[in-house]
Amino acid sequence: MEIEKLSKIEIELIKELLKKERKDKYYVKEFNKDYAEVMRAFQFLSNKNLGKLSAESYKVILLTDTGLNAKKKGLPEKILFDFVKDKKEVKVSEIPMDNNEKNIAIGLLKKKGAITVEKLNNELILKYVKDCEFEEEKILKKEFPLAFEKLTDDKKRIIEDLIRRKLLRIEEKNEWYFVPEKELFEIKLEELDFIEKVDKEVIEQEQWKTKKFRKYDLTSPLPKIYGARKHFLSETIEEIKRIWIEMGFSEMEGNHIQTSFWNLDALFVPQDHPARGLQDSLFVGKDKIEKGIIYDLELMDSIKSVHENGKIANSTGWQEKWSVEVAKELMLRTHTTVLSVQTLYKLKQEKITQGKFFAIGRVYRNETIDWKHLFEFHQVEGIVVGEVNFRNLLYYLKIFYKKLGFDDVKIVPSYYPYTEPSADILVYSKEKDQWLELGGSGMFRPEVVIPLLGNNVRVLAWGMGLERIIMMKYNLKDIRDVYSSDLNLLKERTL
Amino acid sequence: MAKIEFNVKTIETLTGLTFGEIIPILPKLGISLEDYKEDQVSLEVNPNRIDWLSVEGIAKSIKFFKGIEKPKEEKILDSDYEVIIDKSVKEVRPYTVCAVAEIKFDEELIKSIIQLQEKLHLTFGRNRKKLAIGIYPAEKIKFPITFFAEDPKKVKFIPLNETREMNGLEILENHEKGKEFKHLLEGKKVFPFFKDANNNILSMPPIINSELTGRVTEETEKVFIECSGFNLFYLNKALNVIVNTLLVRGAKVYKVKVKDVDSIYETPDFNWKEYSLDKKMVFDYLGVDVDFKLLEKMGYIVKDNKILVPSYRADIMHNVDLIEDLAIAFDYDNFKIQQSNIESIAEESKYSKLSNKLRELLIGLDFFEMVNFNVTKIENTINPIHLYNSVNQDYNVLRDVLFLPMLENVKQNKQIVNQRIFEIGRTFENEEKEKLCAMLTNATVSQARQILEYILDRFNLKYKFEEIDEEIFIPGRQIRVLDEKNKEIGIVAEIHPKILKERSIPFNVVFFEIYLDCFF
Repeated sequence: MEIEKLSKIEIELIKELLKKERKDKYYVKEFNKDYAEVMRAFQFLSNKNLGKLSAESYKVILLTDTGLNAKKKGLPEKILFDFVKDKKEVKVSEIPMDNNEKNIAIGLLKKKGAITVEKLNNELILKYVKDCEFEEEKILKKEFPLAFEKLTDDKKRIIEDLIRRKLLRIEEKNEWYFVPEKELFEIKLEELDFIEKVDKEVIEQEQWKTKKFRKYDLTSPLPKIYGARKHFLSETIEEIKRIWIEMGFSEMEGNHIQTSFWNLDALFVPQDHPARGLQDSLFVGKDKIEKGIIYDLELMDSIKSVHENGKIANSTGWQEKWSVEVAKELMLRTHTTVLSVQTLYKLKQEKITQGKFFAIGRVYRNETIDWKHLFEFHQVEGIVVGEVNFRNLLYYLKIFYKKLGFDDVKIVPSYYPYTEPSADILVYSKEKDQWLELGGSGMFRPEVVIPLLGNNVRVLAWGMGLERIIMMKYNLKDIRDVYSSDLNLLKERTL
Repeated sequence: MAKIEFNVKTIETLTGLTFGEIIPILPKLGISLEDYKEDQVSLEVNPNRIDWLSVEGIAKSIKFFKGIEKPKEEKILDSDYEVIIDKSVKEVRPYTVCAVAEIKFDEELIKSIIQLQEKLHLTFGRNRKKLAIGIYPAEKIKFPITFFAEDPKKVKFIPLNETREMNGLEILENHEKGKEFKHLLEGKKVFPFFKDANNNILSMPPIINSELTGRVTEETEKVFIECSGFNLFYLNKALNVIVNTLLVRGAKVYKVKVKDVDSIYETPDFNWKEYSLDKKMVFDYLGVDVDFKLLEKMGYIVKDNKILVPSYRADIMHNVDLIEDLAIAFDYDNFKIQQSNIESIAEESKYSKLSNKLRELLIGLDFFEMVNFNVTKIENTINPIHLYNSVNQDYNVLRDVLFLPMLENVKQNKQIVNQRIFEIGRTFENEEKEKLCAMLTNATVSQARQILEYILDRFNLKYKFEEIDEEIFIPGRQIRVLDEKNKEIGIVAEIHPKILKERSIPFNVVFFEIYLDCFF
């Protein structure tokens, strides 16, 4: 057994033990340290076969709550005795005591011969006879807990009485003690002088030249520690932002509350489209839907005209009346594509004809929240404006998804009201060994671009929901967990 | 997305292909196979292709795509059938377009037509708001048919699936479809009706057909079809899709003369529309020269640079719709990647950059980041913006402070006595603002202030404090932080225990909350 490997508390305890008078049995309570710590150290020494930790049981007497009460206020029989002695004679009915207590007290006093009980005119009368001993009170006045074994027999009897009266109770306790092995006493005190903490003294005095280091047990389990972290949702957003930046895309930002004009009309979504309805979109307002302002009246006219007859864009348009009142309705944006159209608008103001832009932001749908659906979630979106074509879209998609960790990507025809051609993106998941849909893409329709930019500039666009990626990455089964605030989960999560 | 169901044998018979040969074609067209069990096939089609709301329409497209058939003009035959639109109906339901078709109906075709009608009603017809379709066994009807409107109390007929006569109002109150679509006719003084030359009521659109004339059975060999509503542009598209479906089955389709109040026109208008496609435009869009002839695979007739678009294609609005079909015919898999040369210098938004720095500072002080919803419950707000129609009843306002919703995070972790959490998020007041809130439990409000100062000092901001007196905070333990120009940076405070009691939080909570704007 290497002495250097003993723990600090074991060493301290052995030192103390060696300084004491040598005997067979050392009680834990003899040591000037925390009882539990000493026990633990003796247990370690026991495990190392340097001794044996055992316990002897003994009984103690404790006061019950009623007993404590009686100790403070006096036993009922003593209270009654004083009362009767004072009055010499007293009617039972006139005694100001609880009936139960009264009867017990009367019985006890009678037994002691201190009073007599007589009946007079159907009334019970108590008469003082003589003084008596109240051993029970003497017991109660003692310091508790009392060691039972040490008591004399007649004291034990009184105590058993008091236990029956539920004024006292008996408990079994353990007194721990340690029986050291011979080997322990063969250790010399000087051997136990190890270098603990390396401090200024140790260094200056070069103590390692004369003393040994206490060895730590570094192979057994230690409690885990944690540090504060970014939320994994934030972290994922940062990682994806980095992908966009690496590809040369600039960040778009904007309000979450938008007019239907920007969120839907500018994207050529017809005003009677089901997605614009109360079941799908969240509108702002208390008793009625609040309306916003459409500032650019020229733009509004263009969009109105492209919806109604499409002529400015060489399209049939929707051939339905377009209502500015519907367009003004304020809603929570249903996609980040609203930022894309607002960016196109800004490009026109700034007379810029090309660029690459991205957004990662919250969007809202009027969905009942459950393990698969949220009413508030994130979308990731990118656009490329300029002399670009369908083949370039494939180029960007391949790079983007490769950076996301998907080497294999393919596209299939799809449909979105504001892109044509449109495509859905399928990625190959190695874990699941299947192709999964992860995002949509396309080229903005002229009906969208022409009112905003004046001519049919080509705009590539693609995007997807963020929560799905997060659930795949962190193996979450319930979409609500993406917004978890459980500190235990947040501290434990891996990178 | 709409789901179309049919028996696998139907599509095999209509195309002449096995379903195994059909399956790989579907994703190339943008159709999704949802389910295939015991001969029943379930497909999902995009909402713009209403011609695919029937297996017949899908089969036709598959045959063109595979080159089994080439698109050709289909003849609609002349006839004497007439439908009169009476001026009484113009104010309530102004238009109808009609056709007559001769075809032997079997069980599969009946199922297909009923499904087509239902799906058209639900999707394209916006749940019957925009249009409604009636299909009647022609043998039970005498032409000419009149489309008129009348006081609903005065018109009685036995509606489909009933045994006794009801008037228009009674149908809205008592009939299943009447109750479902009551809102479309409620309050109108007159209701629209179709009647034949014998004054038999055929139907009351958009609600219900009559029992006597409204049911197509396997005995039916000729049908009268009408589509009524408010906008001929849409009515014609819906009718053409139905006609297309019947033509695929080999029906003979007849024109109907519709005598409107001021005009007469013949329907169905099954004429092909001419589009011209520019080679340069195609190249600009697709990045490759694609032979226009390929459009025949998508059901178009190609004559030099002129493209003829079939009338059942309700989704063609612009040349780009043709360009997409051209790309589909070329096959998306055949496009080769081409590197793009759009040059740009990337930039993160200033809020993103700032948020990262703040995050770093707070994590360095052992604060865990929280991410909460913007949509929240009213008890987590002070004076919020409301949401008019939230289906999640409790979550119907937008948060205007970060610290109140964060108390839910504290409560959720209440077994941890010493919490340090922060959130960088948006609040909705008069304007939308990005804010930072850092919250500590079992700590002093001075500590919260120290942490705030640590952060503001790292940015070299100058600030001063003034005492405030809000009910939700403990008196004498709350301050406002201002910048040099006296603009509010934020607040530092200790939450009043009455709020902690309401939320069953068993220790104190201190925090600061500031606007990100103050850093710019």
